[in-house]
Parts: sequence; structure tokens; C-alpha cells
Amino acid sequence: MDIDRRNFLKTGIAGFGSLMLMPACIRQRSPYLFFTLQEAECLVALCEQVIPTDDHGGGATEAGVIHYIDKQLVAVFDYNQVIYQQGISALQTSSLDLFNKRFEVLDSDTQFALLKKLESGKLPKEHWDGVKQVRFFQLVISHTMQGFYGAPRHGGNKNYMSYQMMGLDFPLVVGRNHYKHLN
Amino acid sequence: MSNKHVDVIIVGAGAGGGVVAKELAVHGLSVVVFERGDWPDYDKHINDELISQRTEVLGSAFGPDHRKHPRVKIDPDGTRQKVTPITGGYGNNAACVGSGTVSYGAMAWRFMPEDFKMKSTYGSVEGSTLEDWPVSYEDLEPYYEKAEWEIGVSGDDSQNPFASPRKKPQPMPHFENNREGKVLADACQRLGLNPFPIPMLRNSVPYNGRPACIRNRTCVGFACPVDGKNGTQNTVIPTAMATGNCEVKVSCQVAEVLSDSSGKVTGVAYFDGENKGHTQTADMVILAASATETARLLLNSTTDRFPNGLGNNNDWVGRNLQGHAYTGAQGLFDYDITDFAGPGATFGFCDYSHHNEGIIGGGMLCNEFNALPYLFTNMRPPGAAKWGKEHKDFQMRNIRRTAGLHGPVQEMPNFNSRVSIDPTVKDYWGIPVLALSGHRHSLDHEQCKWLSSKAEDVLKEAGAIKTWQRVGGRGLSGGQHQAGTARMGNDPKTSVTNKYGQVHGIENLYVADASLFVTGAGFNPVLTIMAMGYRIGEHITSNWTSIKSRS
Repeated sequence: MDIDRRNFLKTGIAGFGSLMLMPACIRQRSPYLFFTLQEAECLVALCEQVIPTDDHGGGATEAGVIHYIDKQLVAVFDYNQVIYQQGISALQTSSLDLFNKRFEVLDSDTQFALLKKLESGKLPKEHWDGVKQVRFFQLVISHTMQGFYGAPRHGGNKNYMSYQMMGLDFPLVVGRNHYKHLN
Repeated sequence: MSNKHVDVIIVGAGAGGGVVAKELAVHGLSVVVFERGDWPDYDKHINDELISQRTEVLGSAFGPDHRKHPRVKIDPDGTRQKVTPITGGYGNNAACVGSGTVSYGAMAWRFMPEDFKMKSTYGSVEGSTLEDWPVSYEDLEPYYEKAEWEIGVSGDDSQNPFASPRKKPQPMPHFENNREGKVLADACQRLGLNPFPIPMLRNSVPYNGRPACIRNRTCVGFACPVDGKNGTQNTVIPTAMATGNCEVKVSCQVAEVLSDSSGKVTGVAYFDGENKGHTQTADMVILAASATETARLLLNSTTDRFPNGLGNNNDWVGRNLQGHAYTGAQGLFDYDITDFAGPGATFGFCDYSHHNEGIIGGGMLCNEFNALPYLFTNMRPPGAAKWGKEHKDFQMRNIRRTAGLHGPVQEMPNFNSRVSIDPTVKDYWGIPVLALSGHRHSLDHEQCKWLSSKAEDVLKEAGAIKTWQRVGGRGLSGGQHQAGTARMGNDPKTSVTNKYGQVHGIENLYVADASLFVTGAGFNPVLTIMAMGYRIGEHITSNWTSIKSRS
């Protein structure tokens, strides 16, 4: 009786487990650890607006900021998973409703204008029901800055490209010989 | 297997605990030091801003593990939220052997005589528990000297007319200004101020068998690649261990201080690196776990005799949590004013530390530690873009063209700024965690505004094309300069320990960290913590025979 009951429970858990895995299977078709392909396309465009390619050099896309955020969302930023999913989804809702296009295919000026509204919390409330839009954008800004200006080993700042733009030594020069006036 | 009984247990291997351990061990006492972190290892703590002590956004290279050590932050509206070093609002001090002294900026300030007599100098302040220390500058002076020579300080007070009196110079010559330091110090002089080289716990010349500082660009927030920065982990703690009398138990989390029915402490209960529970007995226990964790330990150590925790009969443990209200100004220049010769901060001035009309206390000002790329993304003039093309352009053009002057404003202690025990949240080992609550005294922000305007004056004089103030002094106190939660005093009704750090009413329990501070002065606290450690250590060793006979 006891054994039967345990087996029943096991089967039940296994069945429930496989149901739970279904969305994860869909996610696995994405090359990302956390994002779906569609989520990633949207976020790549968003991050590129936060740090765009310009005369100084490449922006968030080239630096691989998406990989920084993706990697950290299944590690130390796991508590931010929900706000990322909800925020990206709400941004697409706003974009589709206002411009009839997904965010990543809008032209750059329209993306910028839309994000200015997001920054001040002025996108339609009905698209952002239960999602704090200002908080979401602040989080994306912080994480984009970290991915672009932090160490490449965390997934972004490919080949220390931001350090090259700032004229900082990379890897760090350890020694005092380059401070001529101090010797 | 039970541990061998020892003379003294010290909890915390930081600035205070390290010094006391050495003082006791060289006098022949057997000592066990508990440290919840591990030995620092430069190879693990590479130059990575995102895990450095300056940002901790991806965790703390120097500990603690954010997954194991949550805290609770209570907002003014009563909302309680779980916080970690990653989320912010945590007030982290490094958890490793040496603690903050591994990765600090290493400023080696002596407090000024007035800093020990705030109430008699300025009178009472409404809403503040401002008070005099039971210890004077003169009492502490010999121990400042000992800290400077044993741990190693570079400096020269002779250009500082406000310098605290000293009998002996600092052991190493002062550091030279970097490029920005020279420009700003010249501007100070034109304004009639008195700039001088910041005293530093770094080697300007080889000292104690370790090399001179190499002016590394990334210094504060990181370990030193050549070991030219002096902390307790590379000075007093190795000396203590070399006596054969001192064992440092790393990765051990102390849960509570044990006491018997007569009210004496008997040892500690702790979890080892494999999370197994143990006890260690001793004739004396010294807490040096930081102003937040020392208070937590006292409050978590409840018995029938001490239902509110040890030393807490009058509800003073955890109260008066202070830190420093950092404030200052930034300036933008039309040329590369910084050369990134580390650590960045090179000169300071004490013209605004005391005796300014209408100001209670004040703070020193000094040039800033080198900008780190991610931290610099938040350094913008008011109204500047926080993202986009304009933000990026500012970053690339101006990271070498921005300089700042900042300083720690002396906070007015208040009873409701505090550490308490959260009733529900537990850490990895099931030990109740601490909750941080309250906020700084309203005067702090006013005094910050005043000091920021003084900083801005200097930047203007130095030729900045744009200047802006960064005014602090609001919100939750504490932070890396946390202090005040086990105040020392002569009256047991309004303090936790006597003037030697001995807990009132418990003869064999001591505190030896910044928890003891009555007020925090307008200076970085580390040299004062070390000096107090020497003084407490001397008090214990010279009275050991009588303490032991009664325990």
C-alpha cells in the first residue's frame, strides 16, 4: 500500500514535471539561456538605443550586451526574470498599438521617442498593467551600462571595446612606469 | 570532536579584530579568531569592477556570499524588504580576513581632539544622541602612533595647520599628487585653504618587507597586485599567527555568544565551512564583527538572564547606527585633468572639519578616487541624458576630464537609526538576520549642502568649465563606515560598554570595532578602529591575571 502510494506520487510528479517543461522546450530553440528569440530581438534594439553605435565606435549590440543580461538573468539576477518578460511584452504591446509594428523594426527615431515616454512612465497604462515601466527601463539602463562598461568575462564589452573608446588600458597595466611625472 | 578551550575568542578578522588578536597573541594568550569569509586571494579578486567592493552588482569579491547572508531593510513607511549586497541598501562590509582593509582606499586619518568632545564643543542637538566619548584624543594618541608604525602609514602633517598633535611623524614619506590633485590643491591654496597629502595605509617606499605602491589605476575596491596596501591581513594577523598562539578559523559563521547562569560568557556557537555546528569555549569573548554584525550577535545571544540580548538591558544595542554622509561636487574641465595615477585621492584639507560658523562638526574634503567606467555612467551634471547618444558621448569624452572633491560629513547620531533582529527572515544557517531602519538626522543634509558648496568653489577656482554639486546626507545610515551600535560610555544606562570596550555588567565580554564609536568624526574611521584595538588589547593583557582569576 505504502509503495503503491509512493509510486503514484512519483508518477504524478513526473507527469506534472513534463508539463512544466513544455514552455522550457520552446525556449530551448533559442540560442539564449533565458530569452526567446523574439524577446531577444526586442531587447537588442532597446539596448542599442541605450548605448548606440556612433562616431566613437560600436554600441550595445556589437558589445554583446544581450549576452551579459541573458547570462545574469539565469544567475545573480534571477529575481529580475519576471520584470524582463513582462516589460518586453508590454513594450511590444505599446509599439504594436501605437505604430502597428514590433519595437525592433521601428526606425531609430521612433524607437527613441517611444523610450523617452517609457523613461517618464507615459506609455499607455493599459499596456503596462501591473508592470512598473519606469522601473523596468531603469533596470535595462543599469544592466546595459554594466554589460557595456564591465569586464568582458561577464558576457558583454566584447574585446574591451568600451575601454578602447575611453582610452583606458586593457588589460590593466600593472606598474608605475606609465606615470612619468611620478617617477 | 570538541575544540580545545582557549583564553580568548575574537569574532571578526577586520581592522579591530586583527589588531587585538596580535596584541593578545604576542603577550602569550591563546586566541581563536573567527572569520565568516576566507583569506583574500588577488587571483580571485581580479580587476573586475562589477564584483569590486565599489559596486558589488554581480556579488562581492571580498564577501559575503549574497545567497547566504540576506538582511532586511525597513523603509520609513514600515515596508520590509529582503536585501543582499547585490540589491543595495545592505550596508556591506567585506567578509574576508582583513575585511575592508584589503580593498579600501586606505586613508589613515587621526580624528581631531574635538571629535571626541562633540557635546562639550557644540552643546546638545535636538533629536540627536550627540555625546562626548569617554576617551580623549590624548588617551588615544599613543595608539594612533602604534597603528601608524606597525601597520604602515605614508604621510606628512606639517602642511596641515589643523593636524591633531603628534609625538612622532608617520613612518613613510607622503605620496605625490597626481595631475588632478596638483591642479585642485593649487586652487585651494589660491583660496587660502590648506591642502596637504592624504595620510595613507599604503607604502610610499618599501616597508615591513613588502614593496612600494605602484599607483595602480584600480586600487580602492580591489586587492593590491603587489601587496603594497597595508591591512590587518598582511601585517598584524600574520604576526599573531607566527607566535603559534593564534588560530584563524575562516569560513566560520558565529551564531551566538554563549553565557552561563552567573552572567559570564563561556564561548560561542558557530557553523564551520561544511555547515556543521560546533561550540568553542574561552575565558573571554571579543566581538569585532562590524557595527552591524556585532550588534546582531549581541541581540541574537539571548538567555533567561539576558532576554533582550547581551549588554542590552537598557535597549542601547543596535541604536545610533551611523556612517558618513558623503557629499561634494564635480567639475568638468576642457582638458584631460586626470591621469588615473591610483588610487586617485591624493590631497585633502581640514579647513571645514571644525569651528565653522553655524556648523556642528563638518568634514574634510579630498579629491576623488579614480572613476571606474560603470560607476562613471552615473556621474553626470543635473539634467544630462541618462542614456542614448548624448550619454555615451559624455562618457567617452569626459571620463578623463571630470574631477571631484568629496568628503565624509560627521553625522549627528540618533536613537532610531538602528540595527534590530528581523522576526522572520533567517540566513543560510537559520540564524535570524538583522534589519536596518531609521534615517539620518535632518541636520546632516543641511551640513552636506554647506560642504558641497565649498567643494564647488574650489572646482570653479581650478578652472572647471562646468560644476555641479552632489549632496548627500539623507536616508538610511550605516554603509562601509558603519559605527555606533555598541556605544562606549561611563554611564551604563546610556551606553553598552565602558571606555575599554568591556560590556557593562559582563566582565569577560568586549567589543573592539567601530560599534564603540560615540560619534563618527568627519574622517574615514579605520585608523581610529585600529588605535582603539591597540588600546583595548593593552588593557586586556595588563589586566589578564585578575580577569582570568575571576572567570
